[in-house]
Amino acid sequence: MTDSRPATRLPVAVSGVGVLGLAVLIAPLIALAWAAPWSRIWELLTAKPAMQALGLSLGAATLATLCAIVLGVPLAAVLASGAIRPTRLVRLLVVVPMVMPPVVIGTALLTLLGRRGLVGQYLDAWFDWTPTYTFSAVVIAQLVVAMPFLVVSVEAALRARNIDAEEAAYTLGAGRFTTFRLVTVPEIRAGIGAGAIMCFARALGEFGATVTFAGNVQGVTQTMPLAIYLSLQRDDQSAIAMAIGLVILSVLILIGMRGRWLPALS
Amino acid sequence: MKRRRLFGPVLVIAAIVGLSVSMTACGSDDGQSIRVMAAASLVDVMDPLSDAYGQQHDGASVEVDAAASSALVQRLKSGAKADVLITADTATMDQAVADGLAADPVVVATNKLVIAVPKGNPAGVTGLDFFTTAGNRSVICASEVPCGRAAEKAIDATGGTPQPISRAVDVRAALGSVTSGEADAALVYQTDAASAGDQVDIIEIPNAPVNEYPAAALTDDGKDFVNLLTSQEGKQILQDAGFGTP
Repeated sequence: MTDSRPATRLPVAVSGVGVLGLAVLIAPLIALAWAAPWSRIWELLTAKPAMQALGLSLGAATLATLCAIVLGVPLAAVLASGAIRPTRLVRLLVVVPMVMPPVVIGTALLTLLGRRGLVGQYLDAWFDWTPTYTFSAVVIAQLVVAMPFLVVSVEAALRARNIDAEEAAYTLGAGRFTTFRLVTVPEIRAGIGAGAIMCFARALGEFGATVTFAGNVQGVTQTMPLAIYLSLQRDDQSAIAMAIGLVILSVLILIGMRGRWLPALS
Repeated sequence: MKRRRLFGPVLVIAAIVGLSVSMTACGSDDGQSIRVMAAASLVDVMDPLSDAYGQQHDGASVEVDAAASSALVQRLKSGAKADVLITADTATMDQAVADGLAADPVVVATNKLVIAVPKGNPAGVTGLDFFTTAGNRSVICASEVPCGRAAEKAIDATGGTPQPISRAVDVRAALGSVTSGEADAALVYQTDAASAGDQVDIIEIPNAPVNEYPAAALTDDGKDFVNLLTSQEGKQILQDAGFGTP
């Protein structure tokens, strides 16, 4: 799909600063590629701790994204319909995790689900189970940090949607749930796809909340960003290799999803 | 009309920028400011040390960059600037010296590992054997950071293998796992345990390995700070925080 808007003539000052803005974003990536140990990259990436961390990151981010879709799409629908008032306040609460330092989110999760937490103390007492330092903790941390990205995207899609088809469905006697499932959700699938990818990408890169709430257990909670952080302190070569791997993976996912799920981005 | 609408936001942004500039400036207005890279376990004692340095140098301020020693050396390697480097073990400082980042380190303090448990010791921890039993909620530092190497050394000496539930990214994270109650025991430095006050109980380890804190001046400005650390006044401050001094 090509951009259908007519080319506009930008003032030189705007295009110049725009290029500078682009440089700010891609210069660190270029430097990383420059510093990468390309000759050993495959060997470093396929080392056991790196593979474990990669598998864990992908698994946790996928689960967190699925949970975010299941919980986030209905939440976005509630926000878009204005069913809970005041909507503006609720929307503000939904995006708060986007501006909170992830370490604080991790601490907040400890005070909720930790062994002495508001809810966690009962999990410990009744089920003798604590999420801290488990794989569940990684998924929960990623979910809280990343779900707002999905909700914001889906709500925008819901607000911009054409409701003619829904009206028609009601007129033809479809129930509310059937209409939501068969008409509304397909109508906004591009928004869900874009939101899910933002959510997945954010979950994949999550560090602060994970290290605080889920700790650092190799093969259980040590995701790629944690493995990168720790290996930076011992052997920067493997850290840079893992970082490159993460970047390549994210780009591949974006490209792969572009056609089917992301008409908005392609 | 457009112009008037812009005025409000611009005023707010200008106020925020002005405020943040003036707040940053306050710290470095008087005297020469220096930057000290200090191991995470020194973070509490850096405040009184900075005050003492300021009094000696008409209000000069000390910027403290605190992190795991290995992370600090990594930062220096990537070109970060500092006047003083203090690490939590000699191995990390030796690495910095070998890489040509620091020279002539002097040991300014000593510390040792202890077992920190939540107040009241709910799991009834008695010694290092708690750390070698799978299923126990024990935490030690990751082997990449000095407190992790010290912990492994201490546990190895008992003939056991560490079976921690998680490996903390630095010593403060290990302590945090105990103060939050998530872990029943963590191996931390004596001074870190002391900084947690009433929140933790301390169990001494027989023949605990002692680790030394070498300090190196990286610039001429940094020499005065290292001199302060080895002076009577500096030693007193370090001892008050629970460190041993040479």
